[in-house]
Amino acid sequence: MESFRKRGIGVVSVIPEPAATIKAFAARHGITYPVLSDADAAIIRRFGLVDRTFQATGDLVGKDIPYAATFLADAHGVVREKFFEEAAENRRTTASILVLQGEPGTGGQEIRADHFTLRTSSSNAEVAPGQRFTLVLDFELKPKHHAYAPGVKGYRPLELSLEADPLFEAHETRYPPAGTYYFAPLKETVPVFEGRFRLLKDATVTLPGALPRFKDTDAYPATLNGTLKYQVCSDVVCYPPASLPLQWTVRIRKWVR
Amino acid sequence: MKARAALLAAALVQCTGTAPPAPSPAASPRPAAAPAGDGSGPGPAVGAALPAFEAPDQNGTTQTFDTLRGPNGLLLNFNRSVVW
Repeated sequence: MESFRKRGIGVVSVIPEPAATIKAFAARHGITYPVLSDADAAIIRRFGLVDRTFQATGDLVGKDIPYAATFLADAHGVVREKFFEEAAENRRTTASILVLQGEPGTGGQEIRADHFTLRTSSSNAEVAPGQRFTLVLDFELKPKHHAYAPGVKGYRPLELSLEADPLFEAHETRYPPAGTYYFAPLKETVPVFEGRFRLLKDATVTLPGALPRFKDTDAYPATLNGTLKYQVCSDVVCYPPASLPLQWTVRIRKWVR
Repeated sequence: MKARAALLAAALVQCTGTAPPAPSPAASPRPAAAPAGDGSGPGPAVGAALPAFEAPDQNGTTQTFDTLRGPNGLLLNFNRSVVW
């Protein structure tokens, strides 16, 4: 939360609970950022966030429950980004939202390949079941070198895949906008990445994968194995397609109550 | 196209009360420059203004967008309850 404040972004949570419940909740967890009591669900309704699919039971019957959505608005109140998970038990971490804004990740390693340096990191060192976090790949290509973007024909584009693991649901890789490169001898224009750029891949810790291992422990390490496929060419030489094994380690922990 | 799909999704939620199924990953094209946010789902769309709101915080102070925002904006988080 402090990282958002450093970026000049206020943080607030809205919860459909009475003021007394909110006060006790904030005190119990030492929460210093504002938590709003939307006791009559007026804000949730005005935002169009009532989850009509929610099957209420017990004392929740008749209450309006929101989707667990997050909005990032600019200083004028215009929505710039919106984060929403189909499954209510899933939620993107705030650190993940920060790395999407360009903040560095945590942990990871630096890999010096022949034609580029790659720094891998993760938005979060610790994640709980249901949390969606982000794996970060920060590239720095040698000058006058380029890697190929998705959609390229005749070259191997940059592609990150994660090994299948029931503990993690992998999401689509996010690429930066590609540039174009004109190769005069072949009179071809191709989509490329050059210089410094960042690839992001989200993963969600699945409940069925994570929960059984909590029997004897409150936290355990888990490894995500991936493969980066790529091809790098310079202004004069095209190197053969290549691949790199990548690895991230995170701690899976129980939700803190 | 994406905006249209989001509108349709919002309309479906309002009309039928059921969330549309998540698009299958295989069917969604891989954009060269994906927006950082997921952009879909209910509530105000990307590019729309947040509705005005006002509510007390844990200290009993009445808060609005203008009292909460920083010079660069506001991160607004909706939670379903204090326990889950």
